[in-house]
Amino acid sequence: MQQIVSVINNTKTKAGRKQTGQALVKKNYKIKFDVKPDAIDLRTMAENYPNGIIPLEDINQLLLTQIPPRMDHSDWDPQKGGPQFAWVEWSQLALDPTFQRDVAPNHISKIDREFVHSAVIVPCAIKMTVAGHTWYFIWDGHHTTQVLRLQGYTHFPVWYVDMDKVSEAEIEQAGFSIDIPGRIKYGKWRAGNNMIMINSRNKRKLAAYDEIMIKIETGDSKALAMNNIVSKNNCIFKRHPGAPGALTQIKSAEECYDLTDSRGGNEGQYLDRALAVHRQVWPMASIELEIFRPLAYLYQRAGLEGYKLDPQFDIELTDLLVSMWGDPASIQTGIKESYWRAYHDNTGKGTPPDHDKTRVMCGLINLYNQKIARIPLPSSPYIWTVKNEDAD
Amino acid sequence: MDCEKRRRRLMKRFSLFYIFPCPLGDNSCKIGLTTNARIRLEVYGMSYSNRKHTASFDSIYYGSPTAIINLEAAVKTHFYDYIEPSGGRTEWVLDHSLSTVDQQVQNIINGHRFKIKKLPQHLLPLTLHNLNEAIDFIQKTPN
Repeated sequence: MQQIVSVINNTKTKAGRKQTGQALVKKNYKIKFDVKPDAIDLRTMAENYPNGIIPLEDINQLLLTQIPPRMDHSDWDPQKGGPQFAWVEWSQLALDPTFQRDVAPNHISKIDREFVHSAVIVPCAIKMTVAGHTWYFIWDGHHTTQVLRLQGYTHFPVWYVDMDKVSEAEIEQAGFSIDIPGRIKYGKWRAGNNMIMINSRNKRKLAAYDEIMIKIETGDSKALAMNNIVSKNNCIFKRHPGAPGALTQIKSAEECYDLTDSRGGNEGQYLDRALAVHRQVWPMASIELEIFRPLAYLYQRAGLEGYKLDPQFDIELTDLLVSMWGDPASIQTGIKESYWRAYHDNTGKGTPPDHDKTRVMCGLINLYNQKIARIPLPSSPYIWTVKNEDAD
Repeated sequence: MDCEKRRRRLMKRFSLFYIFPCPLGDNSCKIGLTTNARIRLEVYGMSYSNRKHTASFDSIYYGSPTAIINLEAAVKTHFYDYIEPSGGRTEWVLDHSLSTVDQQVQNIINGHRFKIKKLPQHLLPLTLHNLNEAIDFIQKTPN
């Protein structure tokens, strides 16, 4: 009990949350892992358990170090209006547009195309009697329910609240009258609020990191191929930057992986080379997006246009970059600053690029041509004198 | 331009990353960055009698403001588990001596290839007394 009280007190501040989270990890786990408000690193945490299986209670204890525990537990008893599960007949299902969005046939078609029976999230509803007919009004999962119908279901899974069983006190507390029209209005209000909460306010988009890790661990071939390249270069997919070789820009890494050669194949080769260069030159740095991506694009363009960039090119270019700016973050920032100076001073020639990856790629080409020019490179669509604005 | 103006102008182009041990002897170090070492040393010095303690930076690194900001972030990430989370004390690295922190900072600089240099030993520790000499040195040996 004492421990729980101290946890409650310490979750009031950011510093307290960090302290209590770290203390719990230090005390109970041999292999340390991050406990932060936006993510608890479950994959590393799992390494502390035989077979990697984490009891939910252990996660719950860590959650308590990051959020204040709830003191009020709302009534979940189905007999008192709490939610319950049922298989419901088609004729009992209905929709009230006051608390639902329009139906999208193209979205239904999309779900239907990829439908598998084991991946159904149970639709949610309120059960109400209107004009003598008992209905289950769906407030979440209408598209899923329609797909189930297309799939030939005759009974439909529903997680519902029986409005006839909700206590009068609860209805009054929400500001509605306790007669039948008031009870119906309360039901609609509850459903509308739930709908917005589930679909808008509390929707947590799947992070790119979680997506790639799930794909890797469930054997997706492309994710495995990407992971092989990442691991081979001593990099690691991470949610947050900081660790040496941490690759957080996962969608962009996938974009670079997809770059193909002139025959439309050999995916991954340009990402591989860009990561190898990055790790070799800056071994303690996290992987910088606007270093590895412009490099990958430069390698691809050279390949497509028949220019051969030998290993010496990487050494020459990175030595030059390091001598001018040093670390990868300063390099990409420096090239972009130089670009914008030329753009605003109107000293550049050609078509200004509209994306940072192209700006930095042009900067790399321009810089190499201006300072080294040992081998020919693809032409830069926008030419300017690249310099360190701080130093010059 | 007189010397003082020249020094102030120079320090706008450079930031300093400093490390000093706990003046009361605890096995911990304070790390931080500043663009105005004079004010920072004056502030740190005001908490103690000058007869007992002179505020000093025992290790100093200098470079562009961007590079120093990136260095501080990298150092704080590296020592995350040893940095006090409490408000106002987030620059104290606990359970590490000056030499171990300094060595790790050097490793981080090398590993990131930060364009940052260390102030030579003959100008350390940096205090208000040798600050001008240090600034003149930085001016002569910029990155």
